[in-house]
Amino acid sequence: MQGKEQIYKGLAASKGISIGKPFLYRAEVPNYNMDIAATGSVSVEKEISDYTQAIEQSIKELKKIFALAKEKLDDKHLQIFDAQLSFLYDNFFHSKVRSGIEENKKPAYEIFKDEIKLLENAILASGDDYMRERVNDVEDMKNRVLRNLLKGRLVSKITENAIVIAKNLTPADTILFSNRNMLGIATDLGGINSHVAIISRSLNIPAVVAMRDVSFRINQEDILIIDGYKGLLISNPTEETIQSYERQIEKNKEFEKKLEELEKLPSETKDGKSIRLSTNLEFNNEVDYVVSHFGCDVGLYRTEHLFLEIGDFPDEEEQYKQYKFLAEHLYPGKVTIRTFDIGGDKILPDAQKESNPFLGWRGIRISLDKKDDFLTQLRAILRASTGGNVKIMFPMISGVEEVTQIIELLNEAKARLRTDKLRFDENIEIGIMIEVPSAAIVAGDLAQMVDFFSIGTNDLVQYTLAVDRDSSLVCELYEKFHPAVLRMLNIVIQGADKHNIPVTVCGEMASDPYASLLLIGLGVSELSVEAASYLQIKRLIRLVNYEEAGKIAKKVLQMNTIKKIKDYVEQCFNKNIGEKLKSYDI
Amino acid sequence: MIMRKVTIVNKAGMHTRPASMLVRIASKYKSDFYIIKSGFQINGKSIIGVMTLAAEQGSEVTLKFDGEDEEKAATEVIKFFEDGFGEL
Repeated sequence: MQGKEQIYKGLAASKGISIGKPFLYRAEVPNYNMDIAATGSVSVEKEISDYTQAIEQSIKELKKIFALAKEKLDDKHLQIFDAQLSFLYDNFFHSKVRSGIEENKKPAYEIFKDEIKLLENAILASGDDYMRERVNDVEDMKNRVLRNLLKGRLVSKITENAIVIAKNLTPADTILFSNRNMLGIATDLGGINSHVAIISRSLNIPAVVAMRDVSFRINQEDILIIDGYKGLLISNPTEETIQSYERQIEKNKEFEKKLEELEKLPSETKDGKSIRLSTNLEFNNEVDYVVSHFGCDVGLYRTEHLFLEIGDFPDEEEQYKQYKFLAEHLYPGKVTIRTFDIGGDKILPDAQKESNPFLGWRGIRISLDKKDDFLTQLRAILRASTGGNVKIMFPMISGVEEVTQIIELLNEAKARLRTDKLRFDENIEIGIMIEVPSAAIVAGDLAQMVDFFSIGTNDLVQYTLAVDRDSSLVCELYEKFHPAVLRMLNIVIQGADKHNIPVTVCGEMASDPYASLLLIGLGVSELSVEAASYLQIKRLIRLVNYEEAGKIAKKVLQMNTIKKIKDYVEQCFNKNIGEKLKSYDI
Repeated sequence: MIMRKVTIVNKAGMHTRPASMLVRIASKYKSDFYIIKSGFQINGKSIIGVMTLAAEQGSEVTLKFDGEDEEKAATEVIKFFEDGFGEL
């Protein structure tokens, strides 16, 4: 009845396995010009009534999204949908479109598009970058109305329990889908940090992104398996494949239950070496889960979302509230707050468009240029540190000069707080992210200036190998087991050891079992992983023999190809740990 | 008819949020409400109109109210401008 089994490969963005039917979602507006030409002249009356209906339908859809978003997001997020709604309620605008249809005898969608274009041009003509950003608000609304005008596929018609296949998904789409018991998401575009990926992880559904043109290849009748562990989408699987995946789903369920036993056990190797294990955190609603289940430190708290929610630097009180909330809820656990790491893939309104954003104005470079905003953030973090459980970390460091400047500014922030008679932890620890190769190479010098290092492996690998992992064309070259990457890590750890400061790894490498075996062997003192991988990695740590891991790492540093390293690590892994890991016994 | 000159004082200017709040306030009243900026007049009850003004911090605009409840409308709208759209 069906075609041959086909396997499509993408980037694994969120773990899990599902089997089900596809829901093909095509947000882009189809080209209706041909149909319209065929029907001949335009009926003004019909166009106007179509337009009215499309607006009503759009309002209905957006209200639904708004109500959903209200449950899941806070006020700041809501404003964007609220504004879109008020565009749709703009009767002045609608009457302009209606009279445009009457005067020009053109179809509603053409007049609507022209009117929106005028608006976009006016906004773009404004010298203000913030205003220009607002064009995005209009864009989402425009697409929704056009989709309804052209009777394209409606989002609300999504079938329950389906695997969503799309070219790309907007935040609004993803939130709406989230209420529909999606089985998984596979998209042509997107990286592992795209909005879809982040939401999928928090909804705990499998997602695979960067699948190139998969949305054109999947048919409505296909049966699909989505494998969010390996980043695969399998269409028309054989009976054999289905059974093997069904077994795996069953096992995963049992296994996840068993994993909970690990919550109470210490994070130490088989031979008793303690490896600190903490989690990365971005949203406040994850805090309770982390505290009640793991009771661990937060090794990386990302603050960018505070910026992205309002599209500007939040004020001191707002930030202080957030940081204080974290510090109090995690106490006596510690939290490492990383200052804004914006730019790069995230958008900064003030930024000029750069042809190489990852090599451009981002992270600490922005903070050091916008000193007032940086001081505001430092003050807010310092004020939240009174419990003695807060550390500060700085992203995108490339050399000693930056750290000197940071320390000066930090001292200035402290001095101002003393003048204002505001309390803070006088002994607050500061650390830097090592994610730029130049910083890695001078790690020995940097280690004299700070209290800890945290290696951001995602960026370090990407910068070391000159590979953009979000580019679906080259992402296969992104390889954490490259000999240069491992030697780079070794330089950092040795530099830190020389001055006795601890090294954390907070990138995805820490969540990979093979890689974390090597990281432990190289002498990393702490792993900070996504909450979803926490127990898995604790389990791994408890299976590792520390002394042996050290020997493995030493040997790997002598190897000169990816293949040799991978084969060797796999072999050691299977010998010492693999069987146990496979056995599903805790 | 009431005419009043006001200045945009908040940092981000007349962006989406204040624009939609302004329209909501103005729409409570029966009076017509227009905003005039550098010779252009737009309907202040239309968010899309207000957005096309692209009024940044520091820009001066003239507010025009015309109708039976113009005084009440003017009081509330002017206050909204003076308060920097609640963003000060």
